[in-house]
Amino acid sequence: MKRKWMMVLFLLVCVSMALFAGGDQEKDGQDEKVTLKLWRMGTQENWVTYTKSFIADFEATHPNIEVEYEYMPPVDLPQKLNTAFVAGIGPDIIGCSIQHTSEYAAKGKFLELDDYVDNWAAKDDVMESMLNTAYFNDNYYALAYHPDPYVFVYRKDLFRKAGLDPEDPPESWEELLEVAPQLTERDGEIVTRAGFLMPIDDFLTFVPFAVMNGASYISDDNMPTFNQPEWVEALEVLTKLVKDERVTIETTNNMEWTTSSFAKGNAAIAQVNSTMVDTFKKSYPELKDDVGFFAIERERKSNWNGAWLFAISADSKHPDEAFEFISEWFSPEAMWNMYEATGNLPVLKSLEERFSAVDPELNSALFSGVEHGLGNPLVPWATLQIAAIRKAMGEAFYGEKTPKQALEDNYELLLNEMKEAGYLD
Amino acid sequence: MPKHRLLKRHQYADNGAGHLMILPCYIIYLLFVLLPVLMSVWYSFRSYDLFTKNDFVGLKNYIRLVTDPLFIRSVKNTLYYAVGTIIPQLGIGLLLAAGLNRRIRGKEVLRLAFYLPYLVSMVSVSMLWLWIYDPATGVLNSLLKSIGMSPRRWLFDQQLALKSLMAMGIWKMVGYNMVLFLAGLQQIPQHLYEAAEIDGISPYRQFLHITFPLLQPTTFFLFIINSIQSFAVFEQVNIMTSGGPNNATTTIVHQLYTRGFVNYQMGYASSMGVVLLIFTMILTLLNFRYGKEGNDLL
Amino acid sequence: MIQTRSNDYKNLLITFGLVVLALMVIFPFFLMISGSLKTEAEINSSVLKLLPETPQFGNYLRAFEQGPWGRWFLNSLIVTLTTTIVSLVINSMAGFAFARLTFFGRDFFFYTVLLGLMVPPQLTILPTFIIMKKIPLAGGNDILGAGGTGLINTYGGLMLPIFAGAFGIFLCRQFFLNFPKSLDDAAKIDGCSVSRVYRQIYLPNSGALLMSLGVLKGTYSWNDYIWPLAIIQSEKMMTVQLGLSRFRDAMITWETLLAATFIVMLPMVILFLVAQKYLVAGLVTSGMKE
Repeated sequence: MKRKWMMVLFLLVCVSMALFAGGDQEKDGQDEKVTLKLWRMGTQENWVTYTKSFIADFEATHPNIEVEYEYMPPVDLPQKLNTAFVAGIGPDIIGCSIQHTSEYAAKGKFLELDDYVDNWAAKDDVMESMLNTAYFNDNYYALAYHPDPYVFVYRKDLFRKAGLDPEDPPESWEELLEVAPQLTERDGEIVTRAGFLMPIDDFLTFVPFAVMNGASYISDDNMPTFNQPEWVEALEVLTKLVKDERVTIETTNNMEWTTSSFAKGNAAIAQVNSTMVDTFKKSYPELKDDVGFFAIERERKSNWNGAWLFAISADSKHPDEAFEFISEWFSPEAMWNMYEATGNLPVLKSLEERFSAVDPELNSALFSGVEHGLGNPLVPWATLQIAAIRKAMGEAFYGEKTPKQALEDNYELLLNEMKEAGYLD
Repeated sequence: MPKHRLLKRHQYADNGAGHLMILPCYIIYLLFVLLPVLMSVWYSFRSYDLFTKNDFVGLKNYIRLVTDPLFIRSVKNTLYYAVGTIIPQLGIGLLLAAGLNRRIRGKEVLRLAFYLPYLVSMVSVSMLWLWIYDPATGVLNSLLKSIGMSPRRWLFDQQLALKSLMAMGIWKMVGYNMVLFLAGLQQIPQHLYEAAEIDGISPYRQFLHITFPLLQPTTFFLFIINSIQSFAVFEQVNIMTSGGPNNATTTIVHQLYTRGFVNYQMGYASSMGVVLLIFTMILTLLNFRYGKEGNDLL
Repeated sequence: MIQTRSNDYKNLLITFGLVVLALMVIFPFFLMISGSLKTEAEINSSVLKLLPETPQFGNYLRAFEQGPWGRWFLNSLIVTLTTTIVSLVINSMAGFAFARLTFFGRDFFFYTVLLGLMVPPQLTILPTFIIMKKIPLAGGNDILGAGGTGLINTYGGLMLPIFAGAFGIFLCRQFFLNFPKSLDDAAKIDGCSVSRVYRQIYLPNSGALLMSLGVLKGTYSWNDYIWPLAIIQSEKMMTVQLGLSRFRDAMITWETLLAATFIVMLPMVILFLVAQKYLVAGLVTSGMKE
């Protein structure tokens, strides 16, 4: 009997040793040093390197603040952030996208930044469209530092190869329908180069098509609109391109960015962001001057413009220091360093001139992209809407339903989902 | 399970000693595994949205399951995946183990080769296979073309996408089954085979009458483990297809994850988990009851 | 065993079949290694080449420059070794009790263990996290479990849910069920205590079981991703799998990802090679042969 007890005791000791071994606990608040936890989604090397160097500079000028920076693939953010928030030990500063901002703000997890922003000296220098990215319910919930406009690009070299005029990009839906099949390259059933890049579940390309056709992303009374004729027409055109003409390439070689095929040289026409253009130019330096930009004009111009933002957690014990960090992040000097490190469009009016001078053609396309761009709507059901639109796209592109039917069915489904989630009565 | 067979009621011969031996395990288990399960069951009756709402809603979440087309789709996909992976994993695993249990040369290397896929995390493996399955530049299509077959769209083909994931799943889990079958085979006393050999019993009948019955507890164990893992398939779906194309690969746990963490509907997500739990529990209990598990030792 | 000529041929045939299968199984690993030595342009090119033009060993350096990999390997090793050893001890004890002893509530306890086996981690991750935060007296918590961070971001928090994994208990039970019952009776007649029976008869005969459990459990904790992702909140405490996730984003840098994946799997290959000698240890006690 004695031995047994000894054994159990030994095991308990083992376990408790494991329990308390090695954890390094923060003791913030006790000494004067403040620790800020910064979680930013995105693991791209240039952004990570820049963020780290910025933090080093920030800590040097703010000796009382220490910044703990963590980054993760965007796909892992929801689980990690939600778990931490529920347990009340989330980060102080969160780097996320528009849809997260509206959702967390609606759930009261993001601090209202009004008092900070109103007293912020640099406020007037920040581009209005950026400042308003996360302004709703008469409050600022986050600050956008990285606009992510998508622009229509085409490859002049491939136009020449297909016997098309390289200076005449398709500026209407009809022209696109005509040109894209000619630019598509196939190997049997498999498309090896897209005439027009339309990834099957990429609402980022679909939504601008509807909006340029006169649709609004959400209605004035904050309701989804995608069962309306403007949307149906847009999906019909895209379905023709994807299902009937089979002009798009299917590739698994990407994670979140479905449009990376352009950067890899496998698309003739696409709607992409500046990172894709940069990557393409780096991989194919000889084709640098063969990238052209255009806009499709119908009822109005439209393209996608996402944004990356910083928000402060409502639970943060150090909101002042957190805002100090964000404010420093927006300083002209830091913004310009960020541009040089990552190619980010600097969102300060004072830098506009300097920026446009660097690459007039791309940068004016980008500016126009920010101007005509639309991002996810500031509604707490943004994620539900994305899922519904994607589902409709899948059903149309795989021929399960007509585009009209698919949009109508999923519209009903979304309303139902919104009711279930308590966003609708 | 028939109680009278398992326990002779009049004697709990090892009260005390038995409790002590399960104690260290069970305390940790209770706190970090069982308690969370019970909490999830509790969530499943509530409209828990993580932050603002947490009201009791009775069976509302469970009723919603029946009318949710995505959940119904995911149940179908999960069943298909499970049926199509469990049997091949067991069968191939057993064959490999039987082969490798013989006196053949280089079996250490072969064993490692079959176990390698299990050694690599699902995240890495999924990304490797994304590469293999790429329609335009992937290795698989290049191989097919070089032997004169036409390339396929794999993960983009509604009919093939789930099967492609299943093929990868089998590839990954076969080594796991092999290792446990090997351990099981090692437990069978060699002298039984020697005796059979002397009696001139054919290897096939040896397998049927000695190996198979004596492997019952291992097979039973592996059947349950494989079922549980196949029914909980998630990571490869999340990374490789996100449930696409057109929801052809969404699974129960993929729905659970999306609902709970992406859509902030933890109550509803928990009800999916509870349904999955009940389902696997029934499957396991049926096995205990009807599959002889070599349990009649007491 | 009687070795006959036909047996030789059969073995040859089986070996041949196994080798062909093995080649198919390891082909993706060949792709992984060759990919890890390619240039970015080669990897992204639409023409498939099995081998790189010139091997780029620099990819490995680049991959490991991107974080404190030494620390991450150390963390993973600590976690993997501790969880494997502790769970071998406590799981085999519990498994033995469930298989061989009769005590009050045994079936009830066992069924609750099975329940834990069936839960997908995505379901319990949130409640487990909440419990970890509320552990009394850990991480600055008071006696009621409030105030501090509990076991969040500690080795303890990483390892505890794996210790008592239902899988290990169940596996051990199944194997101990297979031992001939006469063993117990003989021991009981000899007046051995239960714990002696376990230590002197069962454990010495469980080499294959313990090794396979060790290998599977070790691999599991080495490769665990979902739980560390939630519980770890600082770079210092990260495991190798969290390190790997940093190569995943909008555009994957495949060559560094593959290089890192290859190095990360090596310790587990070594573990398996060491353990596999014992996988075939078999039964040593003559008592087993009844």
